[in-house]
Amino acid sequence: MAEAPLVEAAGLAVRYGVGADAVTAVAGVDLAIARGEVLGLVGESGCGKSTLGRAILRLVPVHGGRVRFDGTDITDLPERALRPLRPRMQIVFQDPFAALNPRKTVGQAVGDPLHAVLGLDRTMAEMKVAALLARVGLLPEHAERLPHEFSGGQRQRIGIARALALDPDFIVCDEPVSALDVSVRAQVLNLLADIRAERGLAMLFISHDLSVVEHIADRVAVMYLGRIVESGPARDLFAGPRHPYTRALVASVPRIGATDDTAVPIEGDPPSPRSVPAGCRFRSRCPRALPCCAAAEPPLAVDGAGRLLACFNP
Amino acid sequence: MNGGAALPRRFLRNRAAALGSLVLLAVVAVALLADVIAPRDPLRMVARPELWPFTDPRFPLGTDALGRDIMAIIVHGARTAIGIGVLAAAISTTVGIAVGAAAGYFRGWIDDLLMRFTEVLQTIPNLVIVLALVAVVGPDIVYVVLAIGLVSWTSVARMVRGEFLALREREFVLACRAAGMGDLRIMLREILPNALPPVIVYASFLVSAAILFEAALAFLGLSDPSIASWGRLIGEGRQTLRTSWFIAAIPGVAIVLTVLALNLVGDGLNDALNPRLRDQ
Ligand SMILES: Nc1ncnc2c1ncn2[C@@H]1O[C@H](COP(=O)(O)OP(=O)(O)O)[C@@H](O)[C@H]1O
Ligand SMILES: [Mg+2]
Repeated sequence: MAEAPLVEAAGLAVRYGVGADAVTAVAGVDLAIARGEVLGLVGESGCGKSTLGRAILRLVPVHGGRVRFDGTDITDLPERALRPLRPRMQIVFQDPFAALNPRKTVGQAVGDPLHAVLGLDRTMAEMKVAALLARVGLLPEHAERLPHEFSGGQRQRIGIARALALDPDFIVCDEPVSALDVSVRAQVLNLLADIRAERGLAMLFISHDLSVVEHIADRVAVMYLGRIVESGPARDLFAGPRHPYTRALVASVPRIGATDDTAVPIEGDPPSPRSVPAGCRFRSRCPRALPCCAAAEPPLAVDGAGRLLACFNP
Repeated sequence: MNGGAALPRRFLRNRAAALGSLVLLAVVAVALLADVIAPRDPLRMVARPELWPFTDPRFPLGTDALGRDIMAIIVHGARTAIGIGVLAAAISTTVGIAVGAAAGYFRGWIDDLLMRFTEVLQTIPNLVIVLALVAVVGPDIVYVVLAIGLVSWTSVARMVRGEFLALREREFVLACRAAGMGDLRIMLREILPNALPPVIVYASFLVSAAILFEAALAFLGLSDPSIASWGRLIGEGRQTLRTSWFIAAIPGVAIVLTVLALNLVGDGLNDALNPRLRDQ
């Protein structure tokens, strides 16, 4: 990676709550996304994926580490100073119902940022809204309607149009198809892939579903209980997962993975982020755990195959 | 989930709410037309004192102990009650929204400071504060309205704060922050419209509370003596309760009807607005 990454997180940590109730949802994450690159982020529900995506956009308070966007350290920027950068990094949410203000028309949802933030006049904003709606497969007259008149898939298209309105360089797609009917998932995924190719967008593409990430990601990072345990090029990682957790994930989707007889499916739920095991946090569910795994947390380091891996016994 | 036309329909299907609205409309109409219905100064002596109702067609509701036309006092008192109720409720709603919105949206020390102040204010009985304020600044009607308005905002503030705390985390608000919109715009255009339904319901109770407040002040002789007031008439009617009980009873009925109507409307609004709020 010769060029400096567009998005960079180093030691990023996010805590919710205070005192005894505190939950460390993101516990020291390093990642980098180049211009035009799509990084897939996978992991079980509750492992901190959404929190990580929101922390990178400074939508939740960051408690440790740094976030850089296009060379600027935005970790401690006051909101006022951050505002000019904000349009360049957008987000598409998982829940298409919560993502839209029930009292605003589609035209307002997509168009308001255009004049409130970019200062476009009404006519220009309306024209741009019409073009954006057309691009995501909706009709110009949909601009007059309220969100409740649309299906989940259509709402997700509206959310995508809103994210595109400010011409971003980077979009966090937080499980954009997980809440949709299976029948419309592929359409929305293809739309995102097409738009990404047209615009050369960088993305953090979050999903708990590997087969979704496989479609669109250049690289994949696997998250477990607030930390990245493995990351590498999508094809390599799916063809030859190294971390026991990744192996179990890949083996559970046989269509993707090479048949891996040594992978043991993991069972049960991950421990609560309130009671993370000492040492390796995957230890309590790991089929390959060694005594040394309890002593120290394995660092995320480049292994022999050029993969980033956090495991003492891969 | 905005179904514009469904709301009034759901509201009017509720019979109590429909009846309440009817009574309330009548009171408001009387208040607006007070000068037409009773064109002369209602506080002037016009006939012999303690004239019983339905005995003289010129004074259908009789006269009070000072020979003033009770009908005229009731009609102009409606204007006082509605005017004070609406203005005081507007003041407390505005202050409550401002305080609650700032506390819930910004959280942190702003929230601590504002809510500490709100709690302190809430522990002192409202009537005590209003009596103290009016005792200091005098019983002018403007101060009476201000005093009532400025003690009743605390519940609105707590309600609005709760709504803002919940709504500020919603994805559509995060999307606006991610776009770089200003805080004021997000508060007013995105969050407030969604936080308003319970406040509107509560405002109807604030109006009736303010009406009762003014009546209490007037009953104690602490409201503006130059303005016709139901509460004052009740207070004055006390002296002749044994001989001419109607002097106190007629304004009493007016207050009860108006307050009851307002509460029925509030309940109806609550029922009409709430199912949607909860299922969002
Ligand atoms: N607003 C919040 N307040 C407290 N805890 C939260 C909040 N949001 C998420 N969490 C907790 O943080 C952890 C990570 O959540 P999240 O980032 O949503 O995970 P994911 O997106 O991977 O499902 C979970 O344990 C969740 O319960
Ligand atoms: Mg999530």
